[in-house]
Amino acid sequence: MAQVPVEARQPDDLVERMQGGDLDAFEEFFNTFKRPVYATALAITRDPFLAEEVLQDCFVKAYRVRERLDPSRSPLPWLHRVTINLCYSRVSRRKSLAEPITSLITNLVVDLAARPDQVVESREVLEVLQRGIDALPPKQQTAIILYYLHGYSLAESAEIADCNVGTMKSRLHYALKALRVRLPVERRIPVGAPAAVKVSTR
Amino acid sequence: MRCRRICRELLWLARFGEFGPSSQPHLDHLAGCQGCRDEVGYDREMVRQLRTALAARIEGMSPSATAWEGILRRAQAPEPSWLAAWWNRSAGVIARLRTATAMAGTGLALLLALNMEIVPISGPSGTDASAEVGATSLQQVPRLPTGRTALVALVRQSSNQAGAERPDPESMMTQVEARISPPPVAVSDGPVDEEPSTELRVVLRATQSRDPVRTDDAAPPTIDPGASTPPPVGSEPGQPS
Repeated sequence: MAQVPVEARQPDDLVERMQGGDLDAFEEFFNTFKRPVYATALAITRDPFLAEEVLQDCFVKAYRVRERLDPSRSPLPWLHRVTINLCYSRVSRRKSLAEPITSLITNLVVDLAARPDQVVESREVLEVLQRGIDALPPKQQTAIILYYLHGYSLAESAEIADCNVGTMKSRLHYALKALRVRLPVERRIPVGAPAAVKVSTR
Repeated sequence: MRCRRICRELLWLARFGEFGPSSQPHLDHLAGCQGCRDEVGYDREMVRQLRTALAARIEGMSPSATAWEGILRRAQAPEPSWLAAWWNRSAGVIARLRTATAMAGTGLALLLALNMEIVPISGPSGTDASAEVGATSLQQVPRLPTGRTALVALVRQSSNQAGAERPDPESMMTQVEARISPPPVAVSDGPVDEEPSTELRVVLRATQSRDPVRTDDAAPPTIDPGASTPPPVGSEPGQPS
């Protein structure tokens, strides 16, 4: 599974050089952070062209406000925050929300009931999850993208989303709950569930 | 603790990896409860699928090679002035306000053109059945100005007690007669002794009523014969309205 690196490493003086107007430093800055920023934009919008627009807007904004960036801290949380805000302003403008999934779930239930031995990672289940993610409220969507896609810790995710850790946990909890409801009943019983749980009593 | 509550807490602990010494009762329960194991196992499986689904969204995708050129071109372009930025931002707000104003204006014009009346709607206040009947029958009475409703209700009550027919509401017309004394003619340059006065007289007419109802024992109001057909206020030229 391809996972975006949690922290893109940056040279120590990259932001300082960029603040001095060095365009080579800005290009380096872009190459260092473009992948996580683009991944966030693409995960939210699911549109490569829109994600690239957001990417451009984000880095243009970073260049324009470069004087305000703190050289001692990674700019990635700030970049993520800007990206998320840009994505949701554009998505709401385009009104591209997910279509109803009732019919898909109904088909799935029939399909999976006919062949219960099929694997859990069926394309249909993934598709239900994709649509479920699209239908989540923006804050919950942001939470699962930061936590489960980028692999940020709860504290880091909370910092990017500008909330506290408890709120981030709550958003994740409700997001998973909403996704769980969307899955067909047959899929709620895991295959080999006892083996999937490994707990340590230490 | 009930199994359902333990299961809910177990899900929370498992999702965020917060098992600790205080979680021992939960783990003991998990070891002996197949249903909770299924739930937690399913949740973990769903999270795994969720990660797969999220990764599939960005798999093999990367920004195009021209992205940097576009960023560089835009970054080097002169930044729009704050005035232009402010104007762009406020243009949307102004457009929305304009739409709202147009809608409100159209509604108001419609209201005035159709001579409609805004009447507050309220449900029956009393629990008495007779009051409800009275209110229902009142709805059949032609609409009168608010000030007359109480009078009509009073008449209705009296009529019902007497078993009489419903009186014609037009027969209990209230008339407002305004007599305005003309301003004193200035005959001299001296100060005017009397202030111009306005007299308002409220006259209750019951000329067409078959059974005039007296609401009290007082003498009936005097009807000024000269005022039976009062000219409309302000109809005479030169009279102040």
